[in-house]
This record gives sequence, C-alpha cells and structure tokens, in this order.
Amino acid sequence: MLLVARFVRRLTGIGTALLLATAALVPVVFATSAASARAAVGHVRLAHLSPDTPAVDVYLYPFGGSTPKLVLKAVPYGGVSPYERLAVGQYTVAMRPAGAAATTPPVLSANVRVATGRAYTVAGMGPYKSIRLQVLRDSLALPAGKAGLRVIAASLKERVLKVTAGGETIEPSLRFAETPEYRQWPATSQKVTADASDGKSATADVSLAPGSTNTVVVLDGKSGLQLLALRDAAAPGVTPVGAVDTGLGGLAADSTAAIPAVAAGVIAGVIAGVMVGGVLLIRRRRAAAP
Amino acid sequence: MSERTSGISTPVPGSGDGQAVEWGPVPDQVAITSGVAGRDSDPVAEPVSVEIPALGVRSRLDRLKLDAARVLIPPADPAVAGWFSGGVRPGEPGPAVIAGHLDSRTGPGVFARLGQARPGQVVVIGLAGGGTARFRVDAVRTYPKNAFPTAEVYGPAPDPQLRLITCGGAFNQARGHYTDNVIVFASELSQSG
Repeated sequence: MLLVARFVRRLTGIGTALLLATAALVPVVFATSAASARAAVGHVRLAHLSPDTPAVDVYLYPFGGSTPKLVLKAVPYGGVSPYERLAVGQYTVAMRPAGAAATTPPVLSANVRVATGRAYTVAGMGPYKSIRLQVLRDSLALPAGKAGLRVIAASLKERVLKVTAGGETIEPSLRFAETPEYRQWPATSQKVTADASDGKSATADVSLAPGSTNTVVVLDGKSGLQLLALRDAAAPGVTPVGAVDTGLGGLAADSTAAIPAVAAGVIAGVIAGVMVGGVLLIRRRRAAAP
Repeated sequence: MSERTSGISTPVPGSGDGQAVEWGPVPDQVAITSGVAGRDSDPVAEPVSVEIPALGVRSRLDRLKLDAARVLIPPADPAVAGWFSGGVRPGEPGPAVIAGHLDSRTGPGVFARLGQARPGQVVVIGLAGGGTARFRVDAVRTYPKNAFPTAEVYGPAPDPQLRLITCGGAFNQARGHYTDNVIVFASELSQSG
C-alpha cells in the first residue's frame, strides 16, 4: 500500500510538473475543428439564355435526390437567378416546360459539382433544337487591380459578334452559345459594345470593380441587341499577403512572461511536486493518527 | 423529342406519368431581364463597429491598411478592432475582413474570446449613418500563420461575407508573435438601413 502511494505520489508530481510546463506554451484560444465543423459552401445561379426556347421551370436537386432544393417557376429567355448558397457536393439541374408537373421528364438536365468557395452559372444555351445546359465557372483569382470580364453571345438574330470594352477588342469574333473564359481587364468604368456584321450594335456602361468577375450577356431585345451586365463575384482589389499579427502575448504566460518557458516549467514543476508531497505527507500523518 | 440531356446521364425525378405540356420553339422572343438582380445595389456605408452579443465582444472599428509589403497592419490599440479598408465593406458582395488583438502585453485584448465563437452566433456590424449588417457564424478555424489560407479568406464571393481574425496557438517569446491565426467565417443574414 505504501509502495503504491509512493509511486502515485511520484507520478502525480511528474504529471503536474509536465502539465504546468506545457501551460506556459499551451494555446490560450482553443478552436477545435470538431466542435466547429463547417458546412463548406459554394454558389450556383441558373440562367435561361436560349432565344427561341419558351419559359422553363428550373429545378435543382441534390444528386440522386427527388426533393428539389430550389424551384424557379417560369424563367423566361433572359432570366438569371440570384446566386443560391449550397453545401458542397453534386447537384442536378433540370428544366421542364413552364407549368409542367414535377413528375414529367425534364427537357434538359445536367450535373454540377459544387466545390468550396466557388461560384457557378448553369445556363440553358443554344437554339431550341439543340439546347444544352452549360456549367460555367464564375470564380477567378485575379492580379491586383484587375477585373475579370466575360461576354456570352445569346442572340439568335446576330450569330457572330465583335465585342469591345473601353475601346479595346475583348472578343473579335464571338459566336452564338460559345462559352468563353474571363479576360483579365482593367478595373475601370467603361463602355462595352457588341457589333454585329450587319451593322446592328448595342452598348452598355459597365463599371468593373478590382477583384470582381463580371459577365455581359448579349441578348435579342425589343429593338435589336440588348446587353445584360451581371456581377458574378467580388473580392478585395488588392489581396493582403500572409497572416495578421494580432497578439502581444499578455494571455500567453502571465507573470512568467519574462522567463524562458522551460525554466518556468521546471520551477512550476518543483513547486507542484513540493505541494503534492506536502499534501500526501499530511494525509499519511492523518492516516497514521489513531 | 430528341435527347437534350448534357453531361453525365443521371437519375432525375420525372418518369413520364405526368401529362406533357405543349412545347416547341418560339421565334422572335424578346429577352425579359426585368427580374434579374441589378448590378448596382445601393452602396453600403462604412463599418464603424462590431459586436458579437453571444461572446460579449464589442468594439468600434478603425481602418486597417497594408504596409509596403502588402501585409495587413494590425490595429494600433489592443482594445480596438479594425477592418481592412482597402477591401470589401461588410454588407457588400465579397469577403470583408476585420482583425483584432487577442491580447495586449499584459492582459486580454478586444478579441480574447473570438475563439469561443460557434456556428449560428450572430455578428452585428454597425454602419456609418446608423444602419447595420448582420452575419451568421459558419465556422471557426485555426491555421498556422505560415500556412495562412489567403484564398479562403480573401477569395471572391458572390454574396456578402465576413472574416474575423485574431491570434492563437503558442506565443513565440523570441519573435513576440503567436504562431497561429484564429479565423471566424460568417455570411450575411440581413441588412437594415
């Protein structure tokens, strides 16, 4: 019994010393990933960009699921929804004729895999007879001071367009239903102009914020071409480098802050050992007392 | 009706029991864009205060700038938080960033309790002119400073987002800095003018 007691005392002394030694270094702020598990999210918006396709009901299902997360009714040609926040994963977008029951087969469907922090546009594009759902990526890392600009041709009447922005040609020969990449462009306010081969043209003032991605869609409007300017995503114009030093150490090691950590630990351990020894001594005396 | 599915063939609800609707091409359609979210949302006023009621955290907001190496200069006062004024305003689309000290040389700083934030808690940003933008905490994560998640913190987002940053990890006595950053990620709940 005595041997065990001695063993336990020794262990406790060492254990306490170790605990106090690490206390000088231990994190003050505990942010456990288990307790704060996050639903990683991305964003998806839906668009109807097929000039001769009638209005559609758009359904967004988790892949393999039968209950839609989102239903947009009667989306007309030219319709673009706001971005929807979605947990990362696979989804299926389905389009049905406007007013059709959800049990009818869709006229169009496609998968989209949503990744953390990314944004996508799922757009019905092309003419009715060969309409396709395209999944466009809307996120882009940009150099400081630049914006991303992308032009989509969605006019049936003018199938080839020359597009300029701020006087510079951004797309010399953009074809109907192509899915071009973003171009890195100066982040200023500028006129975007789409010119067709027959002389028809349309123009819009678009302000491009630094760090932002933007899409301009060329549509068939009431009297010729019409430009729709969309804001895709925004970011700081200049991205800071590295981490942030927001701590001065006051909570790290209290009064032992001036003493090297190891020494502090040893001192603490000795004190702890003496304290523990003292407590056990008292106990033994008590036990020995009749 | 010709096959119109693009991409991988995938199970989609709709087995054909329902009545098919009249469906065919419509020539000369004019685009309807009136329902599309406008680009020029009302500009958001500058943020002037931050509060996390669940944690008892409250501070005015100073403006934070970048130094010549484009590193974010932390707030001058350990008791006052700041927002990265060269970036996005809280409530505008994109990631707004607010930083505050974990501690001073002698005791707790304005964000001493930031690491105790939990998903679901509300962060209230007071705006110049009296409005507010409210955010909901999505996640609280710790990263070593030498592996700072720049893309996750500052990368583009279509909706208003907020990142609150302070220090954590071990305090390196020799360098006078903590080893980690603790970052709270939050997304917008609502705005009121």
